[in-house]
Amino acid sequence: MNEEPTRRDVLGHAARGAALLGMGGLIGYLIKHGSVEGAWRINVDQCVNSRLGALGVDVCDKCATTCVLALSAVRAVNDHAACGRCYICPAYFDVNSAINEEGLPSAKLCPRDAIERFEIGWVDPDDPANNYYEYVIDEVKCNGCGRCVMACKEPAGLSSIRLEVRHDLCLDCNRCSIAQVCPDDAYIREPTT
Amino acid sequence: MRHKLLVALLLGACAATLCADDWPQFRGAQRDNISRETGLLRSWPEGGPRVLWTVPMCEGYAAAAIHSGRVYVNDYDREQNEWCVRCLALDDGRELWRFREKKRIRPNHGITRTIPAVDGKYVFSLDPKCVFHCLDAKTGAETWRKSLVHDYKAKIPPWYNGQCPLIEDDRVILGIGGDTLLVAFDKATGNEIWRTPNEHKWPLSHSSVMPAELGGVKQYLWCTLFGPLGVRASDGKLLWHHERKFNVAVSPSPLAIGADRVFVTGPYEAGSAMIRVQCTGDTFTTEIIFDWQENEWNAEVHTPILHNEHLFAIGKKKRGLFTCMNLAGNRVWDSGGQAAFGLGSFVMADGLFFVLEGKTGMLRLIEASTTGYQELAHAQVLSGHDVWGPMALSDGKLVLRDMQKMVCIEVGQPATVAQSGADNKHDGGS
Ligand code: SF4
Ligand code: SF4
Ligand code: SF4
Repeated sequence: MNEEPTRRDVLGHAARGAALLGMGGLIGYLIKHGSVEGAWRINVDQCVNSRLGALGVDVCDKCATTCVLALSAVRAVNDHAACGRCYICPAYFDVNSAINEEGLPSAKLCPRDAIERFEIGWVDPDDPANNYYEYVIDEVKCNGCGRCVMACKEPAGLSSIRLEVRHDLCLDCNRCSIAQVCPDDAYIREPTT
Repeated sequence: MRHKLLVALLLGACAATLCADDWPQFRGAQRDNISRETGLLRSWPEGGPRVLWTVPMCEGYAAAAIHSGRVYVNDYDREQNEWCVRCLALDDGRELWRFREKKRIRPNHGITRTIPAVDGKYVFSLDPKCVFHCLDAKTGAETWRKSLVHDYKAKIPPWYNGQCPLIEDDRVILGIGGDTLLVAFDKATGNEIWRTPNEHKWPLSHSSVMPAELGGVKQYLWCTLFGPLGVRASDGKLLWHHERKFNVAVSPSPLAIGADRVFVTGPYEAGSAMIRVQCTGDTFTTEIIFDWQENEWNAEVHTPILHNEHLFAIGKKKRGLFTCMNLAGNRVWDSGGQAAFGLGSFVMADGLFFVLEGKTGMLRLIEASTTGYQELAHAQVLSGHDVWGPMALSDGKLVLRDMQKMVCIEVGQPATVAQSGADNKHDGGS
């Protein structure tokens, strides 16, 4: 019997992962604010970095550059269950960089080196290029610049990486500086109750 | 009487070897993705073309080769961890034989890929782990095999093998990587007719070898991450290589344009280029005619079709517009505002394009025009996401697939004895 996960397994994990990710943010918010009025959220279907079909356009880094915090309250989050776990992840590698002697892109995409990769699962020594890899985002380094989000999008990626507002970090400004400049009206305020 | 005998002999020869309406390998008999069949329907009945049969398949993009009424397709059995080559009857989809081999393949943007090459006697298939199998076309018994990894020190590419073998005359040709660039094998024995050394250790790519005649010399074109190249067909000598950077993978194959040009395109923002290849004396030289390094246009997966001095293909941008370009690289028209095809496939026959929407499985019938997008019909033949597998056409039957199944539809004149597609739903899949 094949022990590789089926698509249904992946989708099941993805749903659970998404639920946990959402709860994590909300719990953080409740601990910090002690009340439930509203919270800033990024609509991934609006944000140009994650919106499907927005290809060949510039990455928007306004979440990284306009937050009032020195290190933005926005982070990239990888939903591991939805990730393709590819050997050549276009969110990890700068796929436009020169190919090295191993046939891999020679540079990484993240300007802050915030993504780490780990080999996971069964390994075929004859076939290293088809092992599975886990891509973990270091939230201490990530500033939500969105580059990896733009790269993890069809046709190359599976949209497993997205930007999220970390409610445990967000100051919950009444007039969020990111929301004011977001070119895609993707930064929205939602009731948390 | 003598005349009748000659006709009978010719018909016999056609039955025994290749007929014009076979689709014996990737991109068809002439590797141009154009079927020579005529008399195809220019409009479809209500509800779409008649479905002749449906066969379940393991998730992926592996597609059909068709020879003498038999369909050959790579597949995978997830329960048994077995890679397979299956032979199906073109008429009704029933399975005639299946070659199986234990092989652990991980789902990674689908499991199955590529298309066997068939000459009626042998079936050639390069499996995901780069073992090359020669099978008996009648029984599926293995005749000979080579391992690109162990025999040639090649590395299995990410997302597994994506190359489809090329058969010509007595030989079958493969791009290799490792210590060898290309090899021509004798079809019957697997003995090497020639091999091209791989001095620069260019890695195995997902591109397939393409036949061409450039500068008056018959050659085989191939493309690696380091650019396209041409190898002399008679002895495997490397004639030319044009250094050009591709990114991550090269899936489309190099396309000869006339006697002195080659068009290349690739995924991951690699853009496209038109390269002039000229021969003076014994020396080949290359020069760029245009090179879209800024990715003005590229195709991610499928190689364009050359027709009437124009290129037709699905571009990556704007969710995949079916595009007509002239040979100077100018867009003549595209399907913008009408349809978007994602990474879907396309095939041409009888002045028509069959184009699949990669995200929905909608099949669109388009006039093969150099003046504008003109849709003649459309039908929801397939379903789901990642409908990227190429199509094959033979005897008025179009064989195509989505992630779960292979379907045969009637796009030629209806058969005189009507068959019900509902009777031909097979469950012998994987
Ligand atoms: S592109 Fe996205 S889905 Fe693909 S391996 Fe990278 S993080 Fe995972
Ligand atoms: S959002 Fe920017 S900083 Fe954060 S992991 Fe992605 S590329 Fe790196
Ligand atoms: S400012 Fe808006 S579009 Fe830009 S990254 Fe943030 S949410 Fe996305």
